[in-house]
Amino acid sequence: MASSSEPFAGQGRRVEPVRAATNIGALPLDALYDILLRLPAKELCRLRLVCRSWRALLSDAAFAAAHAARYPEPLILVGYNNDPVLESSGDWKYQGVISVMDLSGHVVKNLRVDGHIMNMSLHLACVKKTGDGSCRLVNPATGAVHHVPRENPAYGYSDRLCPFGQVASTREYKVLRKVSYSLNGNPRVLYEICTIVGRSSAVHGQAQWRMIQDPPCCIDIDWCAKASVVIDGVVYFLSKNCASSAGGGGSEKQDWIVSFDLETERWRPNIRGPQGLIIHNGLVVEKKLSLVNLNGSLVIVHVRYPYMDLWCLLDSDKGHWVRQYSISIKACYRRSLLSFTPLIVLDDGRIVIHINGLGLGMLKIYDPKTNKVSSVVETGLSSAVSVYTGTLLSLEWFLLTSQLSNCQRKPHPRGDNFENGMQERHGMKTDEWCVMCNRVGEDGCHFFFRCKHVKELWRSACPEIWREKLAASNTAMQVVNVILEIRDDSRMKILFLLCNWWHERNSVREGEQRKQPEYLASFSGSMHALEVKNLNKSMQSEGSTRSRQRRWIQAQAGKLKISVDGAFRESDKNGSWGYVIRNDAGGLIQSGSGRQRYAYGPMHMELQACIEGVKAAMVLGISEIILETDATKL
Amino acid sequence: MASEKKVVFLRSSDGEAFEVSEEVISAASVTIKGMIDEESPSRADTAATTTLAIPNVTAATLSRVLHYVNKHFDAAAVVGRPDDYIFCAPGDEHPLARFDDDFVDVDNDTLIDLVHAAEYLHIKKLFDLTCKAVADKLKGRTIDQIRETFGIVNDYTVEEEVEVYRENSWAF
Repeated sequence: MASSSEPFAGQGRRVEPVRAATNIGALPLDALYDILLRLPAKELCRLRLVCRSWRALLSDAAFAAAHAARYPEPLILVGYNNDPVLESSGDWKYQGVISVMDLSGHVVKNLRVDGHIMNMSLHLACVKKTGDGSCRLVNPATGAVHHVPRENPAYGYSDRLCPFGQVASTREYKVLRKVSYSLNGNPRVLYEICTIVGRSSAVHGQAQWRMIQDPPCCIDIDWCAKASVVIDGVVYFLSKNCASSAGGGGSEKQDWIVSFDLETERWRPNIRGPQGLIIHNGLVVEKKLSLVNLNGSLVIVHVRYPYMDLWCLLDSDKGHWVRQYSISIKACYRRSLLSFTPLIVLDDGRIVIHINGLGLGMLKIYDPKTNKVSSVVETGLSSAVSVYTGTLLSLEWFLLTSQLSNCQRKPHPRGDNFENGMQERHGMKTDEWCVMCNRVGEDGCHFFFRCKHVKELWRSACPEIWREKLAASNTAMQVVNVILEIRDDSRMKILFLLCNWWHERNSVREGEQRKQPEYLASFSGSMHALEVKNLNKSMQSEGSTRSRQRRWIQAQAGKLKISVDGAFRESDKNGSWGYVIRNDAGGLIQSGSGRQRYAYGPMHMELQACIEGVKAAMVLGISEIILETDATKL
Repeated sequence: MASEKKVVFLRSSDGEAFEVSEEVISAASVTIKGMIDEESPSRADTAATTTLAIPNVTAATLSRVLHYVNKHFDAAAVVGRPDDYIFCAPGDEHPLARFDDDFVDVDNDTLIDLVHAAEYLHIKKLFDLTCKAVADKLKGRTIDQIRETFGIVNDYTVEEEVEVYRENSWAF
């Protein structure tokens, strides 16, 4: 115990104990220090609010260091990107959440960020804003921001991934980027670097992107998050050549890894790949190989079912690698899209591994002694994960958090498209690209009435005035109302047009060639004519024959009919379901819909719809039902 | 001389004197060991027992401290008295864990006086014990409760308080 003779922050230490009026603010600094060091970081941040002197102590760098030394358990950063939402300005707004969690999966802190979380290392995450193309490094503990100069160069397109690192000598952060451009019609790339000078609002005009020399020849850098890693101010990239070079090949073909020194801003000699690593088939390298930083050393992760090999670099000059671990992943392996990221080797030799894919992410711990992988916690599908090297008590507090919360408090942009309303009500989100014209921002209004291709179709099929009227609608309900206003003949025409256009979109999405609008128009016309004919016929024959098989058939008297359907999107495993309960006269009794995150597939959603429909019927006390679905397997 | 057990008297701020084995208190308190070492040349030839003034600690607190010291630092007492072990649950790591828990299960004022005494007397084990107890008291209390409990005046302006709250809002 050190002496405590110095007064603490203006509050003199009492000499005589005063029994009644004790004040922990007047406790010896040693005692207060000792007491506060025993509390978790989150609690301490809260206690900053007690009084000025506490805040001063709890914001002290030395205190933060002592606290970190006392709680050496590493923290992990997990970045989640939410689905983008369309803003009223017409831009897509990306938002993400960075979670700081401990190894048992307990979330210490969540930080919402405005942008797309790209990659993370050290104690920072690189967050890219799609709107103005700006990019910044965010400290999730404090919300501190390091601004990177405007992202999009005038002469080309910059890749979204920006590896960054810290130069040990100057403690500056440097960011790399890859710019693709075309020269006389030939695609070229160049690499640029930028030093981050200021923090927060500080002069970010001063920082400039500078071109760096090209990497050593014959190397095709695999510019993706999994194939790059930053360790001690050196950025390592996996070469795309390594697939072909594995298991033999020319000498320069064995160069697997290119590295760039952020301090000298020069490329370092290439590193040869492990001699013993053989990639079968040579296919899908990016799925099988990745680079990670495991406790400060460069490691190649090679997934070869049912094992995951970790190759550690011993000598970069000679290219000596050793296969340090061969971890059985049989229990946690699924066939597709899984990424395995070893995060850290703990003091007792166990390895923390993050597994991502199939709509979920999880932390697992591998124990080399027992050769077993045990689950820790599910983290949800994440877009980036890394070990956090900072402290939660860090001094740099900047106002990102408040700026962001201001952004989020803005009313939801509702704009002039009705699909957004749908998103808000049902939480369903849709693809952001218009399939027909590749414009960002497909919504119902754009797709049916404003897309340049659908305009052609309208021109050749229906009066333009209806299109304009419909396009001016704000909600789906308004569209329906406008359609109901239309005279009978045109109404049917328009409905067929919309229906065919939707069908056409789905065909195009599945890879078919887009048909000419004239053809579609005439097709709609003939379908219309046919349907009108059928309709008349069926009206004449009083419903004895049905023109189409797939049509709602009335339930037998006294029974109710439940029609169900499910929808599923492969890309993010979102699904939704719906049901309609109708009586024997076709009258609506009840309907319902919902959504499901992380569905297993279309069949899952169809089944879910059936279950929900039957459940609803049970709640209503209905026993005699007929269930109808369009799923062929059911 | 070796057979004779040396004792010292400690006089509290309010004048009460407590007898304690010199060996035990020297093992426990760095401060008192220093005092005894300073005194020793002068009393080498006299048989009189030493009385040390502890001006920062009241009688009530000092008696508690000495109770603790005798339990923890008197090897003979710890080993020789089985009744201490009766209170130990089988799972307790330390035979005195139960005693420690009860020892710090006191009101805030007493606890803070103990922190002071432990700090002044440099009794590391007691200091750790009492600090841990205070830390546990802080956990989960609202800021107002903490200020109230420990008599801290909120010296922030409203604007400052809002600002600090915003900076650390994630922790609330």
